[in-house]
Amino acid sequence: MAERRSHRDLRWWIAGAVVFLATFAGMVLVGGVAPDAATAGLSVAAASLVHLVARLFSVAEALARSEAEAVAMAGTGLARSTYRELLEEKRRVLAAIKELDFDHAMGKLSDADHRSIRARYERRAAEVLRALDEPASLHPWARALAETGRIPGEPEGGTAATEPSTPLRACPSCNGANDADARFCKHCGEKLAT
Amino acid sequence: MPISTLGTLAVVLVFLSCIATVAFSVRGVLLRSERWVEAGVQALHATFAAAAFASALLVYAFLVGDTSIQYVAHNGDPAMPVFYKVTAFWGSLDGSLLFWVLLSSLFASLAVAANRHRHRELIPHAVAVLGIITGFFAGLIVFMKNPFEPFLLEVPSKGRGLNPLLQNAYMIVHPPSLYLGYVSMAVPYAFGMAAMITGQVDDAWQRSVRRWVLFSWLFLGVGLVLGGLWAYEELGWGGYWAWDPVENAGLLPWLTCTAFLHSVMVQERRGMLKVWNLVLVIVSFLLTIVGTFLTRSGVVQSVHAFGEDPALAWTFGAFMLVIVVASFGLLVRRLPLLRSRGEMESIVSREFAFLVNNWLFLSAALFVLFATLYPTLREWAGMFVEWAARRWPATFGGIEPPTRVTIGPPFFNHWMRPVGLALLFLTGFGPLVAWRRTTPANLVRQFRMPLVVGSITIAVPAAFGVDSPWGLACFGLCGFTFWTIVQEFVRGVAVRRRNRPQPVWEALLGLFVRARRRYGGYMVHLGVVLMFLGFAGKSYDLERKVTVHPGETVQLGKYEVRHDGLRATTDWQKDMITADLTILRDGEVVAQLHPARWWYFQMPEQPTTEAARYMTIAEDVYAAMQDADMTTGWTRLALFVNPLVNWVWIGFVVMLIGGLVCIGTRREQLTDRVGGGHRG
Repeated sequence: MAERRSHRDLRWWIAGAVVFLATFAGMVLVGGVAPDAATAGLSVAAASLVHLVARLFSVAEALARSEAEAVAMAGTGLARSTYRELLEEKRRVLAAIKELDFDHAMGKLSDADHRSIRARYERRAAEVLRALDEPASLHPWARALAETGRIPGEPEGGTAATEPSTPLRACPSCNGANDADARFCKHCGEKLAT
Repeated sequence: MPISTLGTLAVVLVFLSCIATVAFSVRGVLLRSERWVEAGVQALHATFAAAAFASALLVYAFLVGDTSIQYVAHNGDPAMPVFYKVTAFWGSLDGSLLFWVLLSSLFASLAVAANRHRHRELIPHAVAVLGIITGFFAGLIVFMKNPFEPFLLEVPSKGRGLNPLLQNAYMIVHPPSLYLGYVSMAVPYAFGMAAMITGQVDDAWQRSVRRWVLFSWLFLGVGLVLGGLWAYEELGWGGYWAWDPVENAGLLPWLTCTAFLHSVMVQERRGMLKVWNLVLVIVSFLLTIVGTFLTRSGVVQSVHAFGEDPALAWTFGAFMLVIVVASFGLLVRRLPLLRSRGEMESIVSREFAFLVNNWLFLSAALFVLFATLYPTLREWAGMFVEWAARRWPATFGGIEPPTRVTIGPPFFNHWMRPVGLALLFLTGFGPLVAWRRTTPANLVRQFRMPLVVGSITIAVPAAFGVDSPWGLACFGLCGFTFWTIVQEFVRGVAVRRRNRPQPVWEALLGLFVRARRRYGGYMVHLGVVLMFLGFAGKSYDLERKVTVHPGETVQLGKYEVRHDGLRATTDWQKDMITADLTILRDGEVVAQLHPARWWYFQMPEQPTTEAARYMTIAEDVYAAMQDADMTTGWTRLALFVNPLVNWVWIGFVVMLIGGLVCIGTRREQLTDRVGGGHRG
């Protein structure tokens, strides 16, 4: 849905550009006005007026929505943001560990300090990785979104992403859920038949 | 419908839209309703759309020359080139307020769109704060300074034109650049406030704002340096920084931003200085408002400008008071949450270097602020004493009322020089010491070579006859800091090549790619060193004020300046008198200079000075004409040799590139999202 919204934003921008060109061309060709800076200025004003109307419409639209709908829209964002934030956190922690090692190699950190700070970051990295690998720790929608690109309850064939959903498979030894193409169980490490 | 009516409607719409933004967001928070929160966000975007429409109308009014609008009549001129007609939009007070609102709502809209799904809980609060800030300026426009105000009685047929002093390439870029810097500080402030209101005072809000602070810092820097360059080329007194109140107003938030950019690293790494970082963001924002206030109300230059527009000044004063009370009130309430995780372990540590750096930056900002306002404060005190003496003659009758004094550049230079040099020292010292603590052996290893280089850079200029202790100290510290940066790069490359054999250039590039912030920061430091090299040159400059006739030659250090004659010319907007000077060195001609004086038809009583200079990497020969008599040919010239001055500009460009490296791109995160994981 976020994509849909950004597509709509893009449409408004395109509409603005079209209005600008149409006003400019109309005034020059039909109205017989000189194609000078003032005409361009007026066309910009016309385009921004269209943009303004679109924006006011968005406000009205947001208010006209029911609370449940608004929550549903926000929910996708929330789920997605949790997942994204985890990814970002992972990147940050790994980068911090690399930087720490680099500092140590350049002699700016004593061995003891290096060990203790690195241990702290490693713990954090482990937590993040586990959270990322553990679908249960995510909001159900986030899991569905991360795996299928759709949120549950959204009608099929809508304008949203229509990626086919990948079936999950259970691990024979621990019964944990794994991706269809997984070769090892991500919970217990057991080899899975391919 | 006339443009003035339509425009007024548009600015009223901006104002209403701000109110709606705040109301929707607050309601959304109170009811915990996503619907109202979303409406608030959309209203914020609508505010920008309305501001864009109003701005487009004003620009159109200038282009078409609609002199029924007072602002256009006062600042527009049909004869001006299109470029100046567009920039006349922000050329004066009313329009610049609209420009403020345009930028403020644009940044608010961009920042909220970028963080909409990242920090959901912060968003409604940040939106409300941004709405209040934009709304304040929109309110000023609607109720006090409407740029669309029409003439009520008779309409003049021709505009007066943009102030000719502003019709200059630097002056076109300089004010909007400072403006961008000022206005973008509202975003970090709004997120900081949102963090305090929600109680989520961990590092999340900072991740959203670090780039904005960098952005603000960059644009303030560009604005300040362009202002300096303009002063150097246009004002003709041979220098670039005179501690002018309006320039100081731009320097103040720049100083606190710099402090924030450093101290935020301590919070990231050690979980310390949380309160301090919030204070810095609040103070920086406050100083941008103070800056806008100082430049717009005319309080500092003269008390008369203040008398002309007391309402605007009082409104600004009230707004600043609200910001101070609200921000610091919240901060005090959230103090328990802001306790730091780590503590200072040693004086010889990175944290401590950062802390000293912060104290210096903040005290420099406070000093400049106080010294800038001191003449005005004294004048107010004088007015108060006079009033009190009339009211209570018995008590106050005998007191001599304080009068306005002038605080000149020497005073500022006297106090700021040691602060600047201390900061330069920290620039070299900080990056080399370790976090937490540094062992003596390590200290020796890190600082042996920089100290040697620093000593050489003191000894060499001293041998060449530089005798100013400040100048020598500055050269020495430049050498010291320069070498620490070189050493960092050399060691970084060595470590990378040890980990994996690779060519030097690849390792160097790898440093910038992998540790962008750190090595971008070093580049900024390198720029600072080069700028200080330029400042150091000031310690052995040369100045001569002479009166010469055509044909005469004067000696200026190792140069000779020959006066070849005067020319009088006229173009569409001004009369010009130009002197032709030839610069000789050892009898050889090295350059022709043409300093001039221009009399604009609009303001013949205020001629402008057009300085001319012969630039080399080592020094400038700079000539400005102060007076000339066409009948006798005598010319009063101010001649300068400014050593190393161009390094100030070169250093700034290096600093700018370093800053851009720090801002960087978001490419890494994109690959993460697409690839679904971190590689390496």
